Amino acid sequence: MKKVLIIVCLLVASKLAKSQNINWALMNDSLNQSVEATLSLDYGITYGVGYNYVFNTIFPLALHGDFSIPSGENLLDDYKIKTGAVLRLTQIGDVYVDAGLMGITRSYTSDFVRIFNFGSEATLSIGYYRKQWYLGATISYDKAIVSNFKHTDDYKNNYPEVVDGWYEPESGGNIKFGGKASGNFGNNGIVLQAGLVKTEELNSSPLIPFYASLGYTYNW
Amino acid sequence: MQTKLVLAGLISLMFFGSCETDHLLDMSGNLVPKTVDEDPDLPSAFVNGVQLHTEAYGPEDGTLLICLHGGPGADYRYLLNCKELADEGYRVVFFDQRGTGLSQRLPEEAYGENVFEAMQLFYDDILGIIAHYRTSPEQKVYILGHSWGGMLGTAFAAHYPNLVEGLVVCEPGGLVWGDIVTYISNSRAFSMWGELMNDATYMDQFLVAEPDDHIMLDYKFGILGANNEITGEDSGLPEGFWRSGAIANKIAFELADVGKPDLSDGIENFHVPVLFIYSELNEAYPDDWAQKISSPFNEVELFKVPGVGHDMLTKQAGWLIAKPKIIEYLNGL
Repeated sequence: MKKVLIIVCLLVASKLAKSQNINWALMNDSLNQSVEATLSLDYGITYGVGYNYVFNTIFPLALHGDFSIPSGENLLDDYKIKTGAVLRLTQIGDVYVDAGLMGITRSYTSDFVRIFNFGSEATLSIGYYRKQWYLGATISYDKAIVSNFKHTDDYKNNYPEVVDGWYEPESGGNIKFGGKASGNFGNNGIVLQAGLVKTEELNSSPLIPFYASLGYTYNW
Repeated sequence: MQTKLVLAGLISLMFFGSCETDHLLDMSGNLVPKTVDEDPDLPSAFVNGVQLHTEAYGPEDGTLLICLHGGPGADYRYLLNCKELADEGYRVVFFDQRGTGLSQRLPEEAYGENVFEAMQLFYDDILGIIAHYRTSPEQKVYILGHSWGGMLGTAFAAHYPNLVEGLVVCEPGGLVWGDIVTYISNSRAFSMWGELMNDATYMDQFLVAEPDDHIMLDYKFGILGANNEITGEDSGLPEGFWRSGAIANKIAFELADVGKPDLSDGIENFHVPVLFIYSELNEAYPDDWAQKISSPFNEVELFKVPGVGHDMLTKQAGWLIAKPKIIEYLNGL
């Protein structure tokens, strides 16, 4: 029951969420939506598409959703869906600070197992934003909340006692530290992001200890 | 205010809330088997300060045939066809090397400060296993090693040429570090854009393991298994493995990369004929590679197993061909 509750909460949170690649200086009442396509090194080479919708209220809020898949021969066996919101916390001149909360749904498949995971990502960014470009720094924390494991016969033929089902991770998540930069040309934009990835205790890294992303955005 | 409270509650639940799930990832036995220090029913021996998973078949006073598995970081389950050699009167001994299979898990420091210390620990473990099973000083000792086990067996014979009286080496990638690196490169179709790459890296975002988290590290290492078309092997064979040793694998390669060992150093002092087995379908192991890698031995017979790849001792098709050749060699010593 609690698993269901968590899933519902994530979905609700996603409805409140907004994009992480928003140029706050550019977005206004008449220019408040964007789509993006990304090629990333994010735990592997990944391809992604995303959508952002900005509400220009007293505390501007952007909703965000994106879908990405890693490269490989089996394109749809792994995927990640992020939905959430980014809240612009404060603005001092051209410097903006925002915080985001994303719900994450992701799937991983190998010859031995299919893992379905629900997680969340909290992000804090600070940036210097102009209408034609911006520079920023970001720190984010990605926590795996709950995962469902279903092993294949190949694995069970080696370990029949393996226990399928829902698992709670015993350790935390990964932390990303990095920067981002963007340039806009009319309604079009290019976004570059890069940084380091460490485990929560900062004493080890994933196999790919950094991330990078090249994105194209179209704003309207 | 109400909205803020709801949001605060959601955030708390998502990050700190108690997710009462069915299972815990840090409980041995759920995703990976328990090790000998966790399950007293498993056969084991305390050797060189470590509890190793081990068992033996055949007459206790028969010539010891010590079987060394590959990896580093694999286990002996895939070599269990070799227990049929007990029918020939041999005392066939299996053990999972330190930190892998169902043997006790150890921290990185337990492998020594450099590759030479690490190799000495591996030798001492083998010596301990021999001492555990040997019933008399006259009992002969033969070694059979596959892949990394072939490298280890060669290095052990080079260090203890008067102890080892028979050596079967099955498709070691190389014996000097440069050849090992070349073999690994040739035997893996590794591409940043490939499925193998994303199978290895994509899970890191939600299966997070700290350096001492053996259960998760071993599990992640174990589920990487995939058929390898280059080496012609199938990692999904039933009863092909128990549990990988991720730290054992990692530290062995790290230390070797720094120390760049020559595992054939001293093999010129080993004067017993060697049986060197390789497979037809391992594309990274053509005839000229087998000849190159086997060249340090003083006296060696090469035998190619047709129709199978690197898992030539595991698949029945390969074992049925390799077994009589191994028996012929052992009985001829």
